[in-house]
Amino acid sequence: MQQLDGRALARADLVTGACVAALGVVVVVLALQMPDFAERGVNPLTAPGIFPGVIGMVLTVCGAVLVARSWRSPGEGERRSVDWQAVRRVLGALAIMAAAVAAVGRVDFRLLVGAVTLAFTVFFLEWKIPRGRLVPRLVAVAVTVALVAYAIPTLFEQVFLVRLP
Amino acid sequence: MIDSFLELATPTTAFNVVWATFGGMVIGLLPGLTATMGLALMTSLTYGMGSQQAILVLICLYIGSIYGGSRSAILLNIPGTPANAATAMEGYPMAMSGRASHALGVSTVASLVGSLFGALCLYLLAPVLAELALGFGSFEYFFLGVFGILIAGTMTSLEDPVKGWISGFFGLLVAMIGLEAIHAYERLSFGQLQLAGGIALIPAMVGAFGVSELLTSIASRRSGDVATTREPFRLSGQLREMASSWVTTIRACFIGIAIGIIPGVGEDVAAWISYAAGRRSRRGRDYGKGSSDGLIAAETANSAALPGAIIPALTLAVPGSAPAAVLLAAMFIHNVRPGPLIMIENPDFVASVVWIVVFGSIVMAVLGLLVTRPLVAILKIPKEYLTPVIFALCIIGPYALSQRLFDVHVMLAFGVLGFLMRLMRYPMAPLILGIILGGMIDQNLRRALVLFERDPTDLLVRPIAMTLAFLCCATILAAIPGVRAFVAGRFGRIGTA
Repeated sequence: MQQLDGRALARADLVTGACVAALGVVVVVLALQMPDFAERGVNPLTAPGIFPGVIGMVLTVCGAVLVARSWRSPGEGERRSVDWQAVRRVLGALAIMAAAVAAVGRVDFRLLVGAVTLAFTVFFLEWKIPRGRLVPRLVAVAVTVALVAYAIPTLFEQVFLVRLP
Repeated sequence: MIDSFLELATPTTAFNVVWATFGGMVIGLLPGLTATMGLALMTSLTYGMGSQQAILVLICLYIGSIYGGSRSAILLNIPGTPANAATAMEGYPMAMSGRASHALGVSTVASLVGSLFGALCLYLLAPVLAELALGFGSFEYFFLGVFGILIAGTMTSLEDPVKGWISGFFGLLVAMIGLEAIHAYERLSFGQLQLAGGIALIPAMVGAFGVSELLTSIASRRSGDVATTREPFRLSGQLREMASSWVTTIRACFIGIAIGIIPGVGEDVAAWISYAAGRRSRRGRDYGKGSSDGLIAAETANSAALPGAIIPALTLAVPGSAPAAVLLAAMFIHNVRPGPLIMIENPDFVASVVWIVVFGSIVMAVLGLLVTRPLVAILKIPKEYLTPVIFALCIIGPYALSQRLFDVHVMLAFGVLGFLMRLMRYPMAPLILGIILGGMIDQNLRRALVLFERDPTDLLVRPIAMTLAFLCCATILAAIPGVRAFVAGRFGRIGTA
């Protein structure tokens, strides 16, 4: 999956510019709702909402610039077809990562990273290979799973004295 | 300096320098693993170490990874880190024309010269900058922080500075989440206890640089021809080459240091600016065809930028690059207080950092000349095996810092955000710089406003603050095409008059 360019980038800029501008407006509103502690006799120029308000305004302006620019020049070049294989790979990886993060703290960490490693190798390695290459590949997967599930947690826990989830 | 050298000259130091530099080279060599990601992940390894050895490990890892990226850039045409993209422009054509060993040797010597020059500048400039920073007040820190965000946004996204600024200000917004320092008011936490604690830097960095790199690498099935390194290697040939390109070397050293000191910009921009300057020189006509002069321009500059980026991190607590930002966070974790007072409170630490850069650079050159060929074998490991290993480290790193599961969730969220930002060409460095500088800019803005209310003329008698404010305005104006065209027109007219 390559970085966007041409028409696709201009369209993405239009959408992200609108989102950034909307976020900026929301931040300004939230900043205005923050207290200034004037009732405590505090100088209102030290109010906690001042800098978030400034950030919100800058984001609004930058988002508006992005929207205006992409609206005026919608990009050039032919429409590039979507690389669905790359999208599938990214979504697959994200699903494995999200499942792993959700399971952290609920499942034994060694078991978890072993399962993640197995899932990554099963999902992403090419398995339509000649039978002669299948055994070395299975051995390589087993070694990687063992390494990640046992060696890395042990190294961190025993050598670097890091507490694991 | 001598005391610091004697304090550091221990077998433990030697052991740590060798493994950390070698580890950095492996990280840099592998496409998809950047120096920032390596440092962010390895910070968790250093929690149990003393502060000096921890910083030593991280700096050596930093040196090794910036250098290691040149190996895959030369042999595979895939820059291991963004800092080595310009290296690939000359190194790969050299390698494909049968001069791979020569290119590897020249880049090693160039990196060594650049980083040693950087160490010298670190030694000379850090006390000067710290002395200067002692006079900094709220106005100066506020404008310095804003200038850092603006210039990092501009330089890391030259074709579209607005995106760089959005990235930087979004980072500042992230830094606003949680308890603020003046009134202890919970901002943007929406009543969530986890958000009240704020978004920690390390989980955000591991996500933005680590997980997003993994996703980018998974998305693409890049592969290339590995150039062979069978021709004989002669160090004298490389030294002769460096001597013949002495103008380029000196220019690259100064560009590297200058770009390194600018907050948040970093080694990749230094390499490109130096390469572009070399291209305009007399020897520039050979660039793009395997010019060793171009290779020297890129590698010397990115290596000189590295100690350059450490200078503001140590003396102003403002990082010069994304990896230096992790280094800065690691310093705070290890109870080292970077900032203007460092030369008063902990002068030996600055001297130690200079020696660490020297040790790391020497070990980098020795290892680079000895183990490049076996290292290249690592490139043959499919990324499908490496991805889960790195992802396991991405979980361990953020969790180990404060044992909060929330940090693991933050890591994944920033990973997805970082991936989408890359896809849409938003630079990542200003985002991280924003998270780091947010608290500092916020507090100093509010203090500066109170001072300004008391005496508005106070700002006028502060030349550094006024200069920084002028630089902020100039950076914004320079990004507006109409203003650029107007200035170019005026200068053009003056030039032709």
